[in-house]
Amino acid sequence: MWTKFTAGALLGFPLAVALTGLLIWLWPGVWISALIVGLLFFVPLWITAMTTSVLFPRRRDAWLTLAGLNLIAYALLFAAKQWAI
Amino acid sequence: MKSATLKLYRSLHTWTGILCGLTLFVAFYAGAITVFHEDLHQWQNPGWRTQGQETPADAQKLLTTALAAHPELKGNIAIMPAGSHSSPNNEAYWYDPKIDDWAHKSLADFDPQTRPQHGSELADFVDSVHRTLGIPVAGQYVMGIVSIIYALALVSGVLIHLRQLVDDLFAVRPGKNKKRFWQDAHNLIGVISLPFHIIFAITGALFSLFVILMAAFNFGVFDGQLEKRFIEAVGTVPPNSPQASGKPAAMLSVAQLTARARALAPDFEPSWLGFSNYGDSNAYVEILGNTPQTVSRFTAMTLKATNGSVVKIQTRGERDVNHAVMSSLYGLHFGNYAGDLVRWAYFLLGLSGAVLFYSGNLLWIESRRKHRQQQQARAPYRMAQGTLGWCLGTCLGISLAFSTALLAPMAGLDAARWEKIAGFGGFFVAILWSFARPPARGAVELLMVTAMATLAIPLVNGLVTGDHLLLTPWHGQWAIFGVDLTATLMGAGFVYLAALSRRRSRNGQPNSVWALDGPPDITATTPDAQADAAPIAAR
Repeated sequence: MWTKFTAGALLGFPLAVALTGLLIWLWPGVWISALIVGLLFFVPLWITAMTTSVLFPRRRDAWLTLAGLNLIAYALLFAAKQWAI
Repeated sequence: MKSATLKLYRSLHTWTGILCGLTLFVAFYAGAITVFHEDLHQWQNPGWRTQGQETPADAQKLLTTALAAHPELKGNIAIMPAGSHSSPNNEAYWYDPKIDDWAHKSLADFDPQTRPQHGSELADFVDSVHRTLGIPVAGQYVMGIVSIIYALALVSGVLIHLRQLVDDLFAVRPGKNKKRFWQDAHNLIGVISLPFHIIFAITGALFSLFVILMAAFNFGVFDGQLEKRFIEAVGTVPPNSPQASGKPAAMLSVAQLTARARALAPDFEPSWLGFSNYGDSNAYVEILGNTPQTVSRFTAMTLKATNGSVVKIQTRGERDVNHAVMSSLYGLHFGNYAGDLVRWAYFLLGLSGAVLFYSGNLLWIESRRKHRQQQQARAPYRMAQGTLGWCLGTCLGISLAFSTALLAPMAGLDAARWEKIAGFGGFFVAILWSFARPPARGAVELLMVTAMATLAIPLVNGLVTGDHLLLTPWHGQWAIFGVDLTATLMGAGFVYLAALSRRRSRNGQPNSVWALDGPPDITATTPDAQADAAPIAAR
């Protein structure tokens, strides 16, 4: 359980950063104007990553899925930044 | 929910609770007191109670005096107006790179006639205990991590309780089964105050980890742009702060600028005027403050100090999303948005939060008790001692700091220094004491000492200042009366708890860590290894 939780804590952090960032970039208007409202979502997202990561049946699944989600989230973030500007 | 999943979250809840419960107890106990931060200022500075309030003209005099004394500030200085922080004095604030902190002085401090005397900083001390456990620098990040663990404990706690949530919510079953009673109380407090706890977990984490988060977002999401544009989101000062032009110009007075701010935002109560380039033609002032009777009460504006024209304004009905959200977060965390009723509600919720974390540790201890046998493991015993020492030590330390704030100046001692020594001293002595005594005795003794220290608060105030409990209501000194009355009630509460603990130690179940006779393998003076091995051998 604790290995899966660690996966949620360590990989959940950049994931929550990326998803929060995505939200801020996609928010209407300039990104800086949505900074604080976006940050509200950061803690719940990170907590969700940690509490759901323990549900994976196997440790490897937790690490791989979260790593995959990170890749997707940062790819989307990269795309959103191109599109937003 | 599957029972395996339930078990998973139960263990997550147990460990997160054990990890952050004690620190959260401190944060909530000190936080409940910090709700009345401004009122404490009046209590801790007896000189302020009778002194007349300084005027905006005095603020202007302070501004010119401070800038004349500190030309190196180049007109970058702030004024905290009299009355805005319960202080009758205007205070000048500036950033001092030598101490890497803000320095502040009032008009009296600049006068060579009056000896500079350092008053009590009790309210700030309690606030720093609330935010950082009183540990400089690192404490803030510790509490940030604790806030995250706290959020995890909340989520897992609700998940494991979810199935019986509706049926069992109001079932508080007192009786022989103490664990059931504490479990019911723990669940009831936890669920009822859940919205309040969610707010604190999120805002606490954001406030404490802000610097780290901003660094992560700056690097991970905004390609280094956040650092440059951050001030746009939270401040009203222009992002590329105007440089001094070098041309001197006439400034509007503090009174004129305050009046201008009030004209722009009705009901606005300025509590901070931050000047940049004062005296220069390119001078401006950022005015921060509160607008009462609204949740998002934090109000901010930047004006040109030469003519009062608006550079940027963030007031109720006229602000961007960032300021609206930030302002609401402040309001919801500080509980200062709807007068005294809400502040008392926050005080009680804060104390009940402290009870929640304390009862969590009690449950941990209780659920490790082996029934129908006298011999018990060592861990719950130590946990009982530690929980007592830590939690009561917090209450004791804070109560001692209160009395010291008023007593130290009488002995010619620096109150700001000695109230910290009394606070930390009380805390550590309580911890040492709790580990030296069986929990059944330690609980009663520490509760009685804490009760004495808390009941001493109104007595000390009455003796030192003459503003005692029977007098202050007649003089309309409600802040002073409130502090004294609260201390009296809480002191009585500690006496009551001591009586309850004493009764339990005599009449409770004998194999509990709280029983006077105690589990024999612990109280026996055998080496640790033998004591731990004994129950296993017996099986």
